[in-house]
Amino acid sequence: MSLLAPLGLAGLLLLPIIVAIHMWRVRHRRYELSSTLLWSRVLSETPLRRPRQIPTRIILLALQLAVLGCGALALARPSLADAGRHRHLVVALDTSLAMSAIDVHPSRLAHAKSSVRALIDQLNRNDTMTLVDAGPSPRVLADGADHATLQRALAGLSQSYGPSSLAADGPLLGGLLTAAGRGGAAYLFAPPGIPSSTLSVLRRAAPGLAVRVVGASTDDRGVAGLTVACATVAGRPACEAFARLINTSSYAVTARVTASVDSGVLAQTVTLPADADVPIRLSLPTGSRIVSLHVEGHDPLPGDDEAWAVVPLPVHRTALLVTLDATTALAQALRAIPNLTVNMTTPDAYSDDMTRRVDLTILDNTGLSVQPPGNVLAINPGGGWPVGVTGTQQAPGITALRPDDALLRGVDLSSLVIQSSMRATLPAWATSDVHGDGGPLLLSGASDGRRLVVLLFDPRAAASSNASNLDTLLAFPTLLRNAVQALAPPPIPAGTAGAVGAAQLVRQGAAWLQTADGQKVGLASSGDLAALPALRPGIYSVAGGAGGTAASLAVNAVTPGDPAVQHDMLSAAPAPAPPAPALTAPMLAMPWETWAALALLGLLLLSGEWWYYVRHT
Amino acid sequence: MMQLSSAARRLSALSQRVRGDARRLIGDQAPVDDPNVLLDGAFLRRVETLHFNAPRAYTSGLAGEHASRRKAHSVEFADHRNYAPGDDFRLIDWNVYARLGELCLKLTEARENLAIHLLIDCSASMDWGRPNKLLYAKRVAAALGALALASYDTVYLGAFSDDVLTVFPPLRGRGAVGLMLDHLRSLQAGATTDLARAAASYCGRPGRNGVAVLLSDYLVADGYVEALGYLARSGLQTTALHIVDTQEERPPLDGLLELYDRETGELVKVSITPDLLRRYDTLFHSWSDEIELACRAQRAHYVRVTTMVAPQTLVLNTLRRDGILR
Repeated sequence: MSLLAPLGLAGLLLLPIIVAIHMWRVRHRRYELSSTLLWSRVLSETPLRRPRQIPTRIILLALQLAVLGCGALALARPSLADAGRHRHLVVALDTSLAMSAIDVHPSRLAHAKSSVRALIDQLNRNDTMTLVDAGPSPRVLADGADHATLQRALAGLSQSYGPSSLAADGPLLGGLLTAAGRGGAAYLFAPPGIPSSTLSVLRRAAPGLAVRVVGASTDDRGVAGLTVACATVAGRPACEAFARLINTSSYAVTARVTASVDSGVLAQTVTLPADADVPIRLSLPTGSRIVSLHVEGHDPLPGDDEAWAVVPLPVHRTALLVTLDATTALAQALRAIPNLTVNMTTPDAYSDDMTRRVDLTILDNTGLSVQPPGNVLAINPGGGWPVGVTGTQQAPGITALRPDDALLRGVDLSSLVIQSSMRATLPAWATSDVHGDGGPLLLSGASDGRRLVVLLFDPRAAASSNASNLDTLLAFPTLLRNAVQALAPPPIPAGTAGAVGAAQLVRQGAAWLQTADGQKVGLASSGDLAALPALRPGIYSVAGGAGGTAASLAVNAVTPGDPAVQHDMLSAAPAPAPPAPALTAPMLAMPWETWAALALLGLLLLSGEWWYYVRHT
Repeated sequence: MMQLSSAARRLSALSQRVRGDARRLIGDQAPVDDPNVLLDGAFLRRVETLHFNAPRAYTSGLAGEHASRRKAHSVEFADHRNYAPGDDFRLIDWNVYARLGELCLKLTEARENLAIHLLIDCSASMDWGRPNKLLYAKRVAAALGALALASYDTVYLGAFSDDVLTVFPPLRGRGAVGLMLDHLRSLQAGATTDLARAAASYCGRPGRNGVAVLLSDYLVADGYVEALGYLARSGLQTTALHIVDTQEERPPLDGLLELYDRETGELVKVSITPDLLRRYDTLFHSWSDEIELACRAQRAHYVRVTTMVAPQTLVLNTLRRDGILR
């Protein structure tokens, strides 16, 4: 047996105080007699001992000393675990949205953290612990025997608003448990309502895993999958919002649903059947920007009661075309792209200042003389920029197309005939979208924080070198539109709460995020990418790059009871391993602490003392 | 004959009414715990067969049922003595003269009255215990008084407390039982008692002889020896009835106590230990022995009784066994 908190034995210092109180106690009970004559004689013959010298209520004193002793021992937290034996605990905490439920005070996650804190306190000197965040993005928080480090890592663990990844966490926990060796034990603090299939997967992957369920209620009402789709109807854009109202309780619930479209509010009472979801559809007025849907769930999980969506708006882009021939099909095709403003200049007149207010620069046979900053679509660039040219390939045939390539979406190159093209070695930063006999014909990628698309031949049939019939094909304007969208992508309208993500910036530069209450936070950015931290559900504004305009970002929680999410989780889980005998292994390997028994014994002794006092006074 | 029968019926009815009144008075059917009930009907009928066993020297001179040292005209033969000039000729026993030829007088024994003095200590210490010691004393006194009245003795009731001596008028005859019970019921506990002073005051009155029964707990620092002396010197055959509560004999005490004297209001702080209880027990018995020795010195009877002993048992058994009653 070992004492996990030896300082608790300091309570034994109170023992002499109790004895002293008994010895010094001079309170006498009054007792009426017919006469004290005989007692006075007895006392005159027998010198009266001072009452404090000998405690008179020996049984009462013994009971009180026993109560104090038990209490002090309980505070010292004696453990039946062998003090010299090494233990390694793998402790995983689910931080998904379901752990933010408040059916236990103050929340499930806080309750689980306090339990883990107690586990850390119980560690002996030789014991070690690996702390795992089993939230939407599983990760190891801390590992080792240093209590302070473990406590700091635990304190830094924050609530996530994403979906649970428990189905995929089994291999991680299993691997950690295997590494822990013989003295290892694994604990998972998770919300109730975990599907049995997920538990089976977890226990197969991590034999002996002890699941500590935090909370009791699986009732949840929430909004899931709020999206907005727009279409042009009779020449006018019309947008509709779609969502599903989830009810995971075993009884039907009538809930009030409030839809807010910009400043307008619409409320309606909806009956949600038991353990089902109800689709909801909302026609949005023209010009709507932000839609939110709120269901008064009256459930322990308020995190998914509201969802937001941003109405997708056409994104206006500006491109700078550097060309010698402003009447080419290239210029005409660019002007035909909707919401794109094309500024034109010649290579001689070009300066880098012209690119400050544009989203991308299109170089048409400009050679090495023009190397603009920012996103670039280079057509038959020649020279050594942005790719090194090693020669010319004659009449190259297309041998490979990159599958699912955003550049080639809707592009049919089967009729493309290329007289010749530049031969280039595929640089490390690029991927070949269209590959020919002698090398890449169309490549794209990001280098030095900017996006690049390079076409290694001239789309014009009348070109003096590297001519092709691309400008005569229907694929040409489509390819150009795809290239413009790839080089200047629209902002992401929605994100998942609690998940770290990336936002594409149109231009390089400082990026920031603004919350609904106006608080601005700088974002770490690299080139055209900005790192989005794990966000709470709500509406945010993201902006970045030189002259970039702010775009709204809706961040929504993932409803734990959403059937679609459950299906995705299970499909993401690894294939179940063959049944392991560890399933029959004991679930708990906790050292048995005797403090509870001692506290109970103390209470019993206290009751005995009370009984004695009532009986004898 | 008809007149005799009618008179017998009236006498029977009167007798029944009187018996009914007596039952109501002495509580033939009343609960024992009732402090107003001092005598039980059945008990009364049994004590009526008893008499005080008093020596001849203590008779009062009045006619009664007790044998006297004096000789008087009666049917009880006592002795013969020789005739002397001046003797009453009517007392000469002529049968003796016929047989012996000598003139002898036939002496007969006088039957005289006995005075019973029931002295009750009404101090505050007596008003304590379960059952109450004063109530116990009243019940014993009621029984002794009733048997005395049944024997046509004179009963004197005296009660002392707060240095006040209350003496009721003498009672005689069976019809005085109700009055005696009323007197006893009227007795209330006072505060302190000075036994010696009370006894001196009582014995200072003329005509104090006979039998005295002093019912007390004797919880006085001193004075009881003097009291017994006063009683003995005034010609009273004294019986000291020492009434003790069982909690006084074996106090059920424990722990630290502040003992409160009901009579004096004195407070005594004491830490009860087994050793102290043993010492108390020793002292209690030595104190009882002191009282008994004092009684013997004054030729008085000493009877110690705990209140757990029923008054019937005390009167019918203990006092008869000790020769106080016969």
